[in-house]
Amino acid sequence: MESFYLARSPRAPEVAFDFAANHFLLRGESYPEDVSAFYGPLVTQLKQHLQTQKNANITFNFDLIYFNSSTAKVLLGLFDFLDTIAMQEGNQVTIYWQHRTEDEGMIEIGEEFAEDLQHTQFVLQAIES
Amino acid sequence: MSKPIAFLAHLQQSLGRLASLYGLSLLSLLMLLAFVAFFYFDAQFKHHAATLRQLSLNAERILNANDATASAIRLTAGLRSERYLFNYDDLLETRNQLLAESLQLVSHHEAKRALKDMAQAGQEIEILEKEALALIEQEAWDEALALITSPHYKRQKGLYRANLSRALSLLVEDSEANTRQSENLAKAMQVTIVLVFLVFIAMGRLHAKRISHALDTERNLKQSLAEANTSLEQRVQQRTEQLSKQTNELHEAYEVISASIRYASRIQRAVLPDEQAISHDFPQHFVLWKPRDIVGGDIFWYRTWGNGVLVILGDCTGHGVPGAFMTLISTGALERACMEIPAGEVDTLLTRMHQHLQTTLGQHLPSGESDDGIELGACYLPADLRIMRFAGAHLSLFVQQDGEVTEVKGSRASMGYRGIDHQQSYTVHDIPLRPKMRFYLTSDGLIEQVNDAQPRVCMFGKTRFKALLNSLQHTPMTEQGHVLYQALESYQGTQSRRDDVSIVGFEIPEHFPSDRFLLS
Repeated sequence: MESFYLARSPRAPEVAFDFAANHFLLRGESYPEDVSAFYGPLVTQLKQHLQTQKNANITFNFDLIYFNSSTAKVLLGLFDFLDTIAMQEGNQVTIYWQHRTEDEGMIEIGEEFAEDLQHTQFVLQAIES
Repeated sequence: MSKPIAFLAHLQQSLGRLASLYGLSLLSLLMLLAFVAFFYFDAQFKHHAATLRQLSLNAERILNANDATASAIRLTAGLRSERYLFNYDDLLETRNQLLAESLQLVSHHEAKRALKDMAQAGQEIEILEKEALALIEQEAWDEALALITSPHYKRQKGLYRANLSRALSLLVEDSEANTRQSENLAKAMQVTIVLVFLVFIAMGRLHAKRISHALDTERNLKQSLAEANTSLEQRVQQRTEQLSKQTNELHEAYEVISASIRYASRIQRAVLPDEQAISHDFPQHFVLWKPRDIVGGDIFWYRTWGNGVLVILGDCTGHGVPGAFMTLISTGALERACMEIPAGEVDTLLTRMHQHLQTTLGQHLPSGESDDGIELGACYLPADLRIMRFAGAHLSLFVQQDGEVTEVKGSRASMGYRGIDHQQSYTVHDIPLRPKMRFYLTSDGLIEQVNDAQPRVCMFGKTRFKALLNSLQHTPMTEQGHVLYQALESYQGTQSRRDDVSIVGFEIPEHFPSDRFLLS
């Protein structure tokens, strides 16, 4: 599958999916008017690709500043799916959750997400601003 | 027509006019020269012809005179009588005078030489005749006759005549040549005139063509400019009409949508509890309800439940119109749950409400289009105000007492969403009440609002929120809604609002008024 790139817009994050390298990135803010319309196709594409992976080293980078509760729902669903992928033979899934050192809100949300993950490695990454 | 183009057309015309004027003047000059030459040569030829005519007349008289002198002497000597000599002197004079006159008339070089030779022969003849006349005086008639008939005399006479004839024939030749020249000149003149006329006509036509071409060009330019102008004007007009139509349509659509949303906002506000009832029960309270887009997904309920009251703040997924839909669906779900669940069992109330939401939206089924829900915090305060029961669905309660603010976290689960167990339970918290305790429920609008910080914006956050609430411990509750909203706006700066913002706060009074149920 070819790489997929979407530039950042005011209400939607930058999306960079490198399917060949199994490297995926979401960066920016996320509060599109219609969350399903924005994330639906992306998540479908991701799922199609990830389901076929074996012995793969899969990394996700989330460098988000703000996202609304609908986006949170999407992320929660995605993490749930990633956890099932991590269970498949030989797959290793790592999620890097990037946040500003003092951004306790983002840390808290990240921690909440991490609680549900059993097979996926979740790394909270502080970045200096 | 624009200025540069007019100028170019004018320039082209002037150049054409100038060129033809110049050509015409040159032709006229040539014509004039040709006519002058013609008349000059013609005058010359006429003069030559007149000379020749005079000369030929003279020649006849000279020859006659010459013959007459010779005859007079010969007769005198032969007949021995002097009476034949009566007009000799006149004849001699006539002959010499005519010759001298002829010499003056003739300009032809060779003819003049012939005439001079003739004059010389004339002098010889005159000497011989004078000698003969002298012999006649002495009456030596025979000697005189011999002299006059001598070969010498006859040769001189012959020379005299021959030279005259030669001069004449030369002049005639010359005249013939001149005539031929004159004829040629006339022909040349005819040809020239014809040519000049042809050239005149050609130039006239060329000039006319140029002028008409220039006029055509100018006319075309004017026409195409006019067409371009017209077409441009038309296009501008069309575009303007189109734009204004679109603007009108947009404006109309905007008006319709705005009016529709304002109307919807009235409905949504009508669902919000009666401020008077809350003020009656909780004189110290505030409700800050600020949808981002006129209507919103945040909702606040205040209602009686059994012998107590229920204070609930909800934050539905989405904002704007979809959010508002969700608040109404949630209101229905709450109403039904309140009727079905015994008063005070807040946790069960949330479970029931969650079930109604899932069922209403078809989200209890494995698949469907929607996946929406609500996060809320519900407080039940019984009439005796001894304890408050709190249950939250992914929404916290903030408590301010004894100089600090603590967070009572709700359950992690929200309500209504597809992924949530239909039998989902929620944790209940019993909080002993004391007068002056302050409680706050907030949607994530304020806590998650971002600021202008560079290079990376930052959310308001819970820590800042709690500190802010604590700083307001001596501020009356009735003023806090305003203060909190100002804090939000000041933090937000030039950033846009990210979500609906709503916060409710209330302070526990000594007791509920005894007539509370009448009002509620």
